[in-house]
Amino acid sequence: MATIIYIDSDETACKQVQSVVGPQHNLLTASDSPTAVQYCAMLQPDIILLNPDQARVNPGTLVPRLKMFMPQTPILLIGGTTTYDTPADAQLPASYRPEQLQTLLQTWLGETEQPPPPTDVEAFQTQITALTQANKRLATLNAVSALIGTSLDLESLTDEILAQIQKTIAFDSATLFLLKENVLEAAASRGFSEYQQGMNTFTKSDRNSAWRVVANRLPLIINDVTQSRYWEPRPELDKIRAWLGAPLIYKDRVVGVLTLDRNTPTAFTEADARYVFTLAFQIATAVENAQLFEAWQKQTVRLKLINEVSQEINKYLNVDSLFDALAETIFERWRYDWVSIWEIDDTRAVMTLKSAYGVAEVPQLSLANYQQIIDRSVFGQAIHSGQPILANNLAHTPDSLLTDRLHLRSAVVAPMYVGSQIEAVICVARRASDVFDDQDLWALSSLAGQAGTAVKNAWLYRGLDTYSDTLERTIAARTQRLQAIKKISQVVSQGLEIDELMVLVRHEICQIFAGDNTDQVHVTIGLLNGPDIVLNGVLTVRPAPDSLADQVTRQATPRILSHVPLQDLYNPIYGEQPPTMPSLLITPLVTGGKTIGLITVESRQPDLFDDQDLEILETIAVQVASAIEHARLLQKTRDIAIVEERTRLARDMHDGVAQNLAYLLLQVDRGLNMVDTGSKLETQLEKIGSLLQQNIAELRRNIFDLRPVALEGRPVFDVLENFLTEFGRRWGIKTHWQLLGDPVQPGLDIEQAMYRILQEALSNAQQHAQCTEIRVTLNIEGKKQIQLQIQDNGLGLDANASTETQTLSRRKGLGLTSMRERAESAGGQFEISSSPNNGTCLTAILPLQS
Amino acid sequence: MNKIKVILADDHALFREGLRSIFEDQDDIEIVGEAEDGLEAVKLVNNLSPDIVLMDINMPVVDGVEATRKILEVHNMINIIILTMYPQDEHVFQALKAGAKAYLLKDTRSRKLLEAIRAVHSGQAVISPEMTGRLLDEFRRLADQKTEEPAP
Repeated sequence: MATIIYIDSDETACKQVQSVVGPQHNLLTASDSPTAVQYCAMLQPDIILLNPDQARVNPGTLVPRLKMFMPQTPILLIGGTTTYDTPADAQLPASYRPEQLQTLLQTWLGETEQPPPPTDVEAFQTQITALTQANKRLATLNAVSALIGTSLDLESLTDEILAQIQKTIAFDSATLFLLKENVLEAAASRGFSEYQQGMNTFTKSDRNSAWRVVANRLPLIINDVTQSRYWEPRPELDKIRAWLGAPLIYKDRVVGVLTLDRNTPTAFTEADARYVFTLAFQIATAVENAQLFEAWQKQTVRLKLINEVSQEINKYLNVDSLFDALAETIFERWRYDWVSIWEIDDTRAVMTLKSAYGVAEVPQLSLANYQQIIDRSVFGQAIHSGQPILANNLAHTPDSLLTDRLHLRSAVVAPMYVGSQIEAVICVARRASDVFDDQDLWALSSLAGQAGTAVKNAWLYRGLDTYSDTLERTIAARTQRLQAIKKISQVVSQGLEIDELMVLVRHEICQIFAGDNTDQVHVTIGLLNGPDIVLNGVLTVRPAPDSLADQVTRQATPRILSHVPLQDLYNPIYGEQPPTMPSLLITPLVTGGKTIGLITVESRQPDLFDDQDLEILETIAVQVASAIEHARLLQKTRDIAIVEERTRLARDMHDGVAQNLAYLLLQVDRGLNMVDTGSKLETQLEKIGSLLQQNIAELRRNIFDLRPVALEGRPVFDVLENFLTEFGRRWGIKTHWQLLGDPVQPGLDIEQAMYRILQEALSNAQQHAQCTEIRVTLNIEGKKQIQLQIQDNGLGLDANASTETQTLSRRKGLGLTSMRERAESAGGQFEISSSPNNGTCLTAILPLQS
Repeated sequence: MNKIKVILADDHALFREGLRSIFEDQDDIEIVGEAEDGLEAVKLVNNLSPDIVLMDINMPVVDGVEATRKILEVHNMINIIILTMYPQDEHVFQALKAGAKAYLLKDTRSRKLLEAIRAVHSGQAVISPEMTGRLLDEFRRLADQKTEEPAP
């Protein structure tokens, strides 16, 4: 019964071979090289069959290997299509027949198909020993296999492995090396007098036995190290004479070397080598798992830390606090020597230190807002490339801050993106060089990413906050304005007369700007009256040119001024010492394209008003101006209506009188019919008749507002003077007449206007003024205009603070209005000047020609 | 001889009485009716068929101009003399357009008034001197208006 190993991954082929080999022999199949090698080492087959054409196996390397440690075992290549230049013993072509294989096997296996019977007890005992040993070794193999599944850390694991091995192979000392790039680093050792002695590190070298093992991927026995040129002597290793090394291969990669030492030469056999080689595969797997586990654990810890930091910084909505918390947390958790966070300005030329923990030997660096120009240092590299930078040896890079001033040798710098822009960088550093690896780079980069998101959130929140603030204010302002407009609307739509309108409007405006503190704010509405402004219907002022009031009302495009904190700017409106009014809003009242006045809102409190208040006032002004104009027009219409009514009444009155006179005239005619011609009665009757006709004619002219008869064919100045004198005589009033300037003949309309004005004025004075003297002055100014002034020394007009001239005239008759009307319709002006008990002065200024 | 039959239309009672007293002394003129407003005037004219109507312009209910029109629509042989206080009255032209034969002021001396009545009765049109100027002015104005109107 022979043990045959067949190396092939093709199941069909395996079945075929199985059918040939049959139950006579033990057939084991291996589908890849490592398994094949293991099996061979373990089971020491009698024949090895190999299919050279399979993907996973390279016969060129596998066969020599197998041959090397099993030189006696025949290796047969079966089923290959290509010829291989290998030290195989025989080869069968691809389409071989089963009989061929049979024959081949028989040839190589020889006649001995059964184990030879033991000839004597000694031989039997030897076999028993061998079997026992084999058993033990299998047990070790199992134990080591079991270790693969444990989660021991690398040190304990390798310790355990060496302990297991010691049960079955005698050694004095042993070391397990792990391969790290170009260094073999001892991970565990046993048997050395001091543990540290065994923890060697060997760099790659041709003269090192362990490295040879790595290179050949096969175990190596050195019977006497003193004789070998592949021994790297080390002081701790001087007792060693015999040496066995086996490569640890995991997934076809050498991951380390297991070495066993004995203090006597020629201590290890080939069998030992084979055995250790078998173990080596298991060990390699276990070691690799342990390493992976370790790496995974480290990673988990890192992730956990990053998560914690994340949560910490997301609590902050203020960016500065956020940076501070971030730097502090990184410093606490990772224990770097220095952590700093820098903010980058918009020009990308300067970075400002926002927070730093750790080394702060340079005094300025312990202050926040220390600034530094971004240069070619690691910071600059990170910022300009947009990638995190790892610098393990800062002596080689130009970085005066980190190296010269802080004496740091290793650093990682990660840029922080907020959105798509780099807004900051995080830097961690250590004093020692070569401390950072890719994991640190990755970790810091992740943190920077988290921080970037947190900053973005903070900004968004701040923006949103500001936005909602602004929105709130805008809405509040708008609401306020609308309410103001609504209020004013309500007031002006009541169709009030001007005086009441102004009082109510002023009250409303006051409330709008002062709320409940109406004594804080003072509102004035000024209406233009020629060159003057009448304030609140009471006080007449004449604003100086270029004063505020003048600017606002006179200029073609009225300017709106506000925020007058200085006293002297306010001065010119009044031309006298004003009270201090630190806050002022002025807006013109404009309607139908012309300025009719202004509104001022004043307050003692400085800086009480802002642009929004001005806007509100402007809006109100539009309405108020419109309302005032409307009220005025309404007034005028009423006045005109009244005048028309009066005229109508007058006519009706006169009509009756005129008709009566006409009747009388008829009677006179009748009388004339009856009297004797030439009699005195006839003369008298004719006189009466003539008088009647004159009166009728006069009435007629009066009603139809015709040119007075008196003016016919006589100079107007004489007529006026006569009228005055007659009037004075009639009513017992002292009269004075004065004519100034060249008596230029005015136009007919003007004559008539003057006559009627004088008539009305005298009539008024006599009826209402209770005067004793009337003075009439006629002043012909140049050749342009004529001024008619009538002054009495009577009671004067009632200048009550709360009434206007127009109200007054309505109460005392419409004479003033009609005089004004006559003057204005002739193209002139009319002014009244009066004060209580000081008489009244009426002045009409008319052009000479209409 | 047939007396001239006159109807007085005037809302001023006293004036009517004055006129009446004048006519009472005349042999050839007889007042056959008095009306206080234009409506009454039209009715009286329908009933009495006078020769002359002395029509005041300003009357209630129906004014003199309207009454003139109404009367002349039916009785176009009747002579209507308009009497008024006011020559400025716009109704001057309207009344004359309506067909009144004369327009006199109320304060015309009675002699002239009687002359006018007799003249109108005999077929003449009488316009007081004060009216002539106005009429000419109006005539001129109308002529100007015609020339100002754009040609169709």
